[in-house]
Amino acid sequence: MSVRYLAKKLTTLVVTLYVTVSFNFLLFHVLPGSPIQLLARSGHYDPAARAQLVKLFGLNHSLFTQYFIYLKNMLHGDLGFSYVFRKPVTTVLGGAIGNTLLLVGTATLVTILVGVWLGVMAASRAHSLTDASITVTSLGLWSMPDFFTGMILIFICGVWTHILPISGLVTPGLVTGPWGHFVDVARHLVLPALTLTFVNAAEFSLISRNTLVDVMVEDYMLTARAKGLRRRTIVWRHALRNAMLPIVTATALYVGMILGGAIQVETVFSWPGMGLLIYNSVVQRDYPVLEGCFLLFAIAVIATNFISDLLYQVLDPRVRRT
Amino acid sequence: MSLLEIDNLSVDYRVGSGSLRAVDHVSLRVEPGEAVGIVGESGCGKTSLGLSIPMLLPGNAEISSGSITLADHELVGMSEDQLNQLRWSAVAFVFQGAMNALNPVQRVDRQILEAITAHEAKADKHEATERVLQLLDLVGISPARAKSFPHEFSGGMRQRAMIAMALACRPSLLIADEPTTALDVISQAQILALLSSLRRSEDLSVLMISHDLSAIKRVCDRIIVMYAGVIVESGRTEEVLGRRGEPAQAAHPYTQALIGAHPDLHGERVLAQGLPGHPPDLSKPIAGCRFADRCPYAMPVCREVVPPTLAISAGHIAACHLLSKGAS
Repeated sequence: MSVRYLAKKLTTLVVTLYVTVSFNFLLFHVLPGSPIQLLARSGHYDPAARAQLVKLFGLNHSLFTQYFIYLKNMLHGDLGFSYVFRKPVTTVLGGAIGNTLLLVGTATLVTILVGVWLGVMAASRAHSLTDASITVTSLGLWSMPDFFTGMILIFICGVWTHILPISGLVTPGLVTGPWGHFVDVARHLVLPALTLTFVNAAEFSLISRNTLVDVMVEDYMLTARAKGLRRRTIVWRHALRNAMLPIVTATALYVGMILGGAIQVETVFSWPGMGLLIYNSVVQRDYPVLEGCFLLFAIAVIATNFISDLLYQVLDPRVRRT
Repeated sequence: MSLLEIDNLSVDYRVGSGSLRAVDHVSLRVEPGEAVGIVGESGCGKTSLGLSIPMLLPGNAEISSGSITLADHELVGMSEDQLNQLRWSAVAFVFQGAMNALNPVQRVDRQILEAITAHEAKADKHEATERVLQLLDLVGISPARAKSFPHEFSGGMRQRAMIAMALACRPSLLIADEPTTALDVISQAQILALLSSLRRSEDLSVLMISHDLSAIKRVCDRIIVMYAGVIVESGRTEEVLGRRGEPAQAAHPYTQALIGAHPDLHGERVLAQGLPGHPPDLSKPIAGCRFADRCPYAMPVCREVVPPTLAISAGHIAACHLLSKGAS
């Protein structure tokens, strides 16, 4: 991978980030409703107090000046002040981001492993009963909205059988050691992570199955068979390596999807992460927090696409620039 | 004792609800060290015949009758594990020049090495690597290029790398399916020269499948002409296709038409003749001779009775009613 390629991709990354950040600023300034009204949580307020608030939040400046103040503050790690929590947005996000990473990270890992494995199983037995069952099940799971799958799981595992907790991160009031805490969080993690995994693993299994089926009929697969390689070697070493490219693309797109899914799933399971924070902030019109969440999500998606671009360079010698 | 014996081999493809017989009771022999060419137009079953030898037919094809014996091993009905041991070590394949036969994301030396290590579990890594470089050198690829990816090679080089890979496990039979198709004439000449010299230096038997008569003439001792799934003629290449300056002695009208469709650089300057029409639909039963519809000499008997295979001279056979009448 050349330095020039990396520099080019980094430039694109920075420009994309800048455009996103600016759009993020603009979006919240074209939304209807006065920020002061929101701040005061009321339509009736003292003009003096109003003037003070306007000054405090810099709203007396022109939109253009506000934009530069916004950029400057962002570069200093200041994302504003939450209307609801009365704390800096960074503090509010800091409390939620770890929980979302735990949920989304676990779900992503399981999604990719299970999804690709199912895809391989289906593709190496293409047009068999195994293939048909995996494909039909995946299509079914994929078609279900996250919140619906979540509610079904809540019904089965929580309401019916009481085998798993259905809401929150920890059992309230539980006093236990570090191991006990770990087990408690893990138990709470199962259902939301499973919900996210169901939908997304289904998508991965369909994508990997279809790419693999296409790759399987490539000429070099016949060569691999003619060489007398074992079936497992043929599938994992020759086919999957070539099928990885669309899977990497899918992963990059998937990050956007799973973050969207996290909003629904965290809301359904009351998981105290960024998704739930976004939901609550929308309901309570906590715009600074929303701005901060949008920014983080945008960074996550842009960064993943950047990484997938770099991965392409590693995986496919044909796109490698020398 | 022949190296390869194919007896009464039939290959059927499932197509929709019916089936299509691509290879119909074909028998042939390849002796040790011999090069045999199979010629015929697209869809005549020559590729299916080639793929059936190491049991590499696609999933919708099956061998419905016959036997394939390679160096005393009966391949039809053999388990996949046993087949994997024979593949590449007893019979290696060179695929069409136009094909992506090399894995695009693996370095060329790795792909050749993989063939060696798959068959020689105890192979010393260092020796095996050394052999890869020797093989590449043998086909005229500099060891400095060994670590290239296939897309960094020209079409001709890719095909030579394919041949190097085919020789990796010292097979006794090499099947080359259209090895020169889609290559430029210079690369074609190089590949053919390489195959001719390797079959002697490496003591190989070659089964070359092609629609290119001059390629077959260049490499093969014997030629087999297939039409619509059956062998219509076979004999010594020199006899059937003719030596330089000497007329071809092809007995079957189809072989004659193939030769006529091919301009001869050294012979009389005549316009190459096309062969109008299409091969018959193999999913329906055919009465009589399969070539009758396109044959300029077709007689009423040709559409009713399957022509018997007759010997013309030693080792030269053809299946045509014209021959049994003794007239032509």
